[in-house]
Order: sequence, then structure tokens, then C-alpha cells
Amino acid sequence: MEYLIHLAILVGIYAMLGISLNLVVGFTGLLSITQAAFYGIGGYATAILLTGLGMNFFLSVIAGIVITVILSLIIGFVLSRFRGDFFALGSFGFNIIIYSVLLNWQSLTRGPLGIPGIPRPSLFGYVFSENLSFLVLVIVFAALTYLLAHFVTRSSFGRVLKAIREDEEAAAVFGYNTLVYKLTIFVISAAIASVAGSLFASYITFIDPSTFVLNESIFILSIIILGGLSSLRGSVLGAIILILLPEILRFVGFPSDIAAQMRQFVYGLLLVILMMYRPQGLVGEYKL
Amino acid sequence: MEIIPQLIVNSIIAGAIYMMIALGFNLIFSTVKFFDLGFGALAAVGGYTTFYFSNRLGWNIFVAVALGVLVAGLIGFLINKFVYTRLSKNKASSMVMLVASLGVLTAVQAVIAMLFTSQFQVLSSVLSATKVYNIYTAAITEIQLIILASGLIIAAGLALLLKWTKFGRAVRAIGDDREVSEIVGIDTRKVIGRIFFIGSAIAGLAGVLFGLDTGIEPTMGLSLLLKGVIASIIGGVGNVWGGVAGAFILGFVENFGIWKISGEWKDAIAFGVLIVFLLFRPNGLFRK
Amino acid sequence: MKNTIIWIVAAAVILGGIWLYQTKNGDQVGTLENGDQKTLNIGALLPFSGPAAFYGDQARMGVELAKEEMAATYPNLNIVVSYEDSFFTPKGGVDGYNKLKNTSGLDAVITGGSPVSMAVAALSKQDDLLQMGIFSATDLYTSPDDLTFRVTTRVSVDLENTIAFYLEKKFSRLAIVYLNNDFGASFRNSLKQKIDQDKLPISVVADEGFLLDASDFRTILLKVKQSNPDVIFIAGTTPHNAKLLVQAKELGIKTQITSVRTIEDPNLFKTAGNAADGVIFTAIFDADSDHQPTKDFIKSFFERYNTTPDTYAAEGYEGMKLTARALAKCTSVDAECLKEVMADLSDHSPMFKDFHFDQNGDPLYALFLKTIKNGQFVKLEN
Repeated sequence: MEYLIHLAILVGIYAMLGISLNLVVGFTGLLSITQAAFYGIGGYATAILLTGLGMNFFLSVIAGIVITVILSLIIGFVLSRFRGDFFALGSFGFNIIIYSVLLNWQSLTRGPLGIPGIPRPSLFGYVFSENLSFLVLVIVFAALTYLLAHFVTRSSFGRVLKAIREDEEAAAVFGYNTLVYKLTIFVISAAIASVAGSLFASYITFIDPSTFVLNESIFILSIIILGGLSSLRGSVLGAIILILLPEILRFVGFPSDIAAQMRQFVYGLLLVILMMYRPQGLVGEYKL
Repeated sequence: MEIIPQLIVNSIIAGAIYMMIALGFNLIFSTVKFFDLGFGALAAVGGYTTFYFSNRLGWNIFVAVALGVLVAGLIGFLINKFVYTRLSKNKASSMVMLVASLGVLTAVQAVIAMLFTSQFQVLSSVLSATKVYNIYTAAITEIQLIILASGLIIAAGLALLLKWTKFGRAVRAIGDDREVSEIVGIDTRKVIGRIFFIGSAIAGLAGVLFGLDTGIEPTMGLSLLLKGVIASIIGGVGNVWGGVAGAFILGFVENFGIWKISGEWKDAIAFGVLIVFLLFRPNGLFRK
Repeated sequence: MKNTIIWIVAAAVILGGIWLYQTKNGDQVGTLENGDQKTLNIGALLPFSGPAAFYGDQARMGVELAKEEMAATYPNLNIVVSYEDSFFTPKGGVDGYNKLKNTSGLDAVITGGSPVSMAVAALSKQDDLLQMGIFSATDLYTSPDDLTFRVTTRVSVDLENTIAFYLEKKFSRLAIVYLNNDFGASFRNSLKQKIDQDKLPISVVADEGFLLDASDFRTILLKVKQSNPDVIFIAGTTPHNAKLLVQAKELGIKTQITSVRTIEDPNLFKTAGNAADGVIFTAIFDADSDHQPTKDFIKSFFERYNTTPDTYAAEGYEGMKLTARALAKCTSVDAECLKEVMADLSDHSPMFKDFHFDQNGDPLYALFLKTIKNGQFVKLEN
């Protein structure tokens, strides 16, 4: 049972990440491959504030969001000048730059040594030290994320995003300030990722930069591509499948010295096959 | 200051490898117009093929190198045939192709790791005990001179190929406007197939030479590729000599950056350059 | 509507499958007694993919060899080692720990690498489970009075020999070139700290970090050369060390170079050739040792795998042996018993000479200086 709870927590966190990325990629059509950077900023904000200042977890979440909003505004603004695959490349660049900062700004983040001893959240005296209670917390945040995303995408704001996705120039001609819309959704997406990062840091209680590399952003992208772009349920489904993939492969029983590589292989193959035969993902409606 | 010559030589050495990757990458991009990230894995394929024949089977090193180049070209050709062509027939967008190529990269790297383990390997020690030449107090080894020379020869060869041969004209035509080329009667699929072969072979050669100078490991492809991409963008994507210039500029900026700042920030500097160029000169320094 | 139903059914099937699979084995922390055969479930969280995969592969070989030897020594013990890929990240470690705890059950866990050891330590302490860290050098892992142990010496202990050497040779200008990961950064930070705290007459004239995929150190070395050091300290893995030495030679750097245990790898010479000659380093594991257990280990390892062991294999081996021995002697997961057994190693001949644990579960053993001469690692004569 404990293991299931652990998996469920991870699914919850990655579902949040998936949904946040989906808002930008699936609904607005911007191929952003830098989500791990915002995930990392939230994680480190919580880690530093909780261990260094003894701040309350929930306050650190807010602090993380503030920092992320500022950074994502800048990054989003720069990226908004690019289109399509250049946007993707530029976002790669930002991911790597932020990872470098996390790794090298040793006086702040302790670099590769990481920050240990991050406490679990506490609220009015109650500490979420039991995994089950932490899971409840994650589910609450994930549900809030889902609702927020649902609200955003179903609103008229969301319709403009889809219009931008289909034909940005047309949307601009119609008088919409596409830059403002793109920036807004980019910032919202980054903020959600930051919250996921805060949860992650507190759950694992130890953080180091290795979690927030480019490959992590690619993993999150794969979740939403598998699940289906512009489908929120798809992001949750994608998170469930990709987090459980190692378990599923375990049933297949590869010899353990190549099992890990096999997983990578299946995963790469999955991306290729999905793009070739079902680019809209399992339950999505939009093809990249 | 006597260090300046060495710094310059260092930059040239760094640029030489980037140059080859940029050349192959540019060639492919100019015709198919998407960022083929799988290209990076082909450098590893080339390096490991040579490793297999020369270290495992003990064949002559030159034969092994030739095989490495050929096999890389062949595999690149096959990937194009079975994956990318199919995707472009379905009118897939360049973002779909990018994601698919990501899958290719992951899968190929995993296969190499399964076959050869993730251990760092050294290619033939025969050539690695190289002579060191001194030019104006700066040191450069024989292998590095070979890399430099090969890169320049390939660049010249490509330029000639593109300018003077019928094949080259077809390539340029496809680069300009694919649909029109098809209408005019050019067999675009065949030309692109050959381009993939040539480009991938160049990647394979880069991998082999990098391996001879440094060593090989399964994940060597991605970082080389990203640097090659940056070089291409600096020089202007699609422009052969632009890629060459971009590679050396990148080499310079990285090394002077390390000199002025420090070695840990190397990647951040390289990607910072990328973003600066994407912002201010997305078409690169040289028009096509 | 139909889609939603399919989706819910699929999710239920997947979750149900996992639940069924792991309730077969149940939640276990503790030893199973099955008749008169005791089963030991030892988890090994090692990196098997990614850039650190090589350490995991090597450590695994060491662990397997130790397991076979322990099985022969304790025939009524059924020793089961379950490996999980830790990916060398904290999340991977926590994943693997949770999985093993709930599927095969855990009596002890071996963790490879500082990031994994640190993340899992939080859990093993909660569960009062024996944890043995291997190739985990970070000072942060040290914690008193619990069941977290490790076979890797603390970086600060490792450096004592190095610093003594510097002081003896009256080196006063030190250049540090380090791999910016948990391993290299630990060494660099500790060096600087010691120099600061003890107010040593050594000034750090260059302090250059490099990344894991770095292969071109020329500009860094140029900076080092410019700073005019009288000794250079390098800490990286074999590919890095080799290229550093070759390129330093190309650049005409003749300063004394010192390094740490990871430089002792026969693969070094494939790239570095005789550029490695003259390097002095702190060794933990003497291939030419006259310490019999070490010789026996090297011999058995070679017979089993047809290759010589490196430090990762050595740590995996010793870590596993200590763990299995402790669990064999204690009838259940009895923290007091385990601590006592670990404190008293008199009936065990550790492979590392003079090995014993201090009160924090960190090891102390004979560290000595070695150098490289003509492609061989030899003890430094003084």
C-alpha cells in the first residue's frame, strides 16, 4: 500500500506538471521544452526557505510562485519573439541556463551537494509527515490545478489561446494582443510547475540540480503528447502511464542489467510511434 | 600576452568539431526544414561502429573509421526512410518531426548503451599517442589538426557539391521551395534520402574523430548536436560556410567565456549566445 | 461518455494490477524466518543508466561477489539482493527504496552515490533500517547514533593525507580543478574549508570547475598555468582525469599534480599514456597491497569476472559484506545489535586495511599516498 501511495504522489505531481505544460503546448501551440526549469525554481525556493529561514511550506510555495512569475515573464517575453521550432530551441537554452544557475550558484543552492533535510509541510501545527496525508495534500493541489486549467481553457481567454494556436496572425488581425495572451498563459503554466516543484522538494526531503535537467522537460512533454495535447484528462492519463511504465516493464522481465536502458528505448520508441501513428495522443484532439 | 595564441588555438580546436556537426546538420535542415535531433545519435553510432571494428574485432583503424562513417550514413538514411518520410507524407508539422527525432535520439542512445554499456570508451590508442605541434607558443595535436583539416575539406566539398553539381542544384531547389521542386520534376524523396546519408555520414565522422581525440560514450550525441545547432544558427541555418563560421565563433565565445568567467558556466554561455542570436539575428550572421 | 468509461476502466485495471502484485508480497521491513532458513532481503540502489551507469555496473559486480562469498560462509542464510536503478538522482533513490520495501521487503539497503544516499537516508532513518552507502563521499551523510553507515571515507578525512603532503613539501600556491558534481565539489569545498579553518599557509590561486560532459580543458588549464601554482589538485572521473593530464602535458605544465582515489583506474592509461606519470594521490585500495584480504579480493574478482576491480567494485564488495555480516549475526532488525556488530569488526577481515567505523558510522582506514610511475600505480616512497 505504501508503494502505491508513493506512486500516487508522483503521479499527482507529474499530472500537475503535465497540465501546466499542456496549457502552453496543447492549448496555445507553443512548443516549450523548459518546464523543468520552473519545476526546479519552485523546488529550490521551498528548499532554501524552509531549511534556511524555517519558513512555512505554504508561504514558500507563494514565494516560489513569485520568483517563477518574474523569471517566466522575462523568459516568456524573450521566447515570444520566436516561432515553432525556434521557440523550442530557445526554450532548451533557458532550461540549460537555469540548470547551470542551480548547479553553479553554490552559495545559494549548494550546487551539486544539494540541500538535505527539507521538512514536510505543516499547517496550523499539523505536519504532513505521513505519506498518506501528503498524498491528500498533493491531490488537493492537483485538483486545484485541474480546476484552474479547466476554467482557463473553457473561458473566452482559452478560446483566444486556441485561436492563437491555429493561426496567430489571424488572431492578431482580429485585434487580440497575442503577446499578452501568450505571456499570461506561459506565466500561469510556470507558476503551476513551481508549486509542483515545492511539493516534490518537501516530499523527497532532499533536492539537487540533477532532477531539473533538459531530459526532465522532455519527459514532461512526452506525458502530454502521450495523453493528448489540449486534453487535461489526457495529461493525467499520460502521467499515470509514464510513471507506471517501469512497473509495467517489470512484468515483462528484462534482465536487470539492461532493464533501465530498455525502458529508455521503449520510451524513445513510444515517442516515434506516437508521432507517426497517433500524434493527437490517446485522448487528445489536437495534433502538433 | 603569450596566452592569447593558445586561447585562439583552443577556440579553433573546439570549433573544428562543432563545425562538422554543423555542416551535416545544416545540410539536412536546409532540405527538410526541421531540427533533426536524432542526428546527434549518429555521431555516437559512427564512433561506436569504429570502436567495434577496431577495438573489439581488431581490424585496421582506417577501415574501421571508414565503416563507422558508412554505417552512420546508412542508419541515418534508414531512419529517414522509415520515419521521417512517412511523417512528411502525412504533412506533419516541424514540431512533430522534432519530437519524433527526439524519440529517435533516445532510442538509438539506449540501444548503444545496451550493446556497449555506458562506460566511457577510448578509440584506438595508436592514434591517440599523437604528436604535439607548437605554433607561436600554442600547442595543438595531430588529431586536432586532422579534425580541422577534415572539417574544412568537407565544407569545401559540400560547397562545391551544392554549387556545381546537378545534385547540388536539386538540393538547393528543394531548400528554396519543396513543392515547386516536385512540380518541376525533381525526385525530392531520392534527393533527401541521399542528403540524409551524406549528412549522417558527416555526423559519424565527427563522432569518430571526437572519439579519437577524446573518447566515446552513448550520450555523447546530444551535447555535440546542441552545439552544432547553435553554430548553425549563429552562421545562418542552411548556409554551409555560415555554419563553419558559426562553429568557430561559438568556440571562441566559449573559451573566452571560460577565461573570463569560469568553466562551469560553459553551457550557459553557449546557450546564452544562442538566445542572443535568436533574438537579434535569427537568420544568422550571413544571409543564405 | 464512452471515452470516459474506457479511461476509468483502464486506470482501474492498471491500479488494480499493481495493487494485486504488491499485496502478494506485502509491506515488509524485517527478516522472514522460513523454517530454519533465514532470508535476507538486501536492496541495492545503484545507477544503471545515465552517465553514472558505469559505477553501478562495477559496484554490482562487487556486490555479487560478496554475496556469493557470504552465502558460502553462512550456508543457512538465503541472501537475496534486489537491484533497482537509482538513475543517480534523489527521486530515483526514493522510488527504488519504496518499491523494494513494498515488493521484496527490505532488511537493509545499499545506496550508491551521495544524491541517492542522502535522499534515502531520510527514509531509512524513519524505518530504522540499516543503510550502507557506497561511493558517497559527501560530508552531509554523516549522522551519529543511527543505522546509516558507509564505506566511503569522508572527504575531509581523505584530504588529511593530501594536505599533510602539501605542508611537508611547503607548497603554498594551490590550483584546484574539479568536476562540479557531488564528488568533485565535496573535495573542492572541503579543501578550501580546511585551508580557511586551520589557517594554513596555502593560498588558492585558481579554482576552476568543469561539467560532466567536459572534454576540452585547455582553457581551464591555461588559466591554471597563468596563476603560477606550485601544486595542482584535480578531482574528476577517469575520462576527465585522463584528458586533463594529457592536455596539461600538451600545454607544457610541469607543476606537481595531486588527485584522489578515482584516478586509480587502469583505463586511465588508455588515454593518458605516460602523461599520468608523477601524479600523486590518496589511495584507499592498493592493488599491490601486502594486505592479504585485498589480494584475495582482487584474485577472486579476477577469477569471477576476468577483469581487475576498481574502487566502485571494491566499495560494493566491502559494503555488501559488512551489511550481510551484520544481518546474519542479528536475529532480527535489532538496531542495538546491528550497531554493536558494526562497531566490532574483529572477526571480519575488511578488504580495506585498518577499516573500522567511527561513532557516526563513517569509516576510517589506512589511506596512503601513491604515485604513478611508468603506467603503474605504486606506493609513494618517502
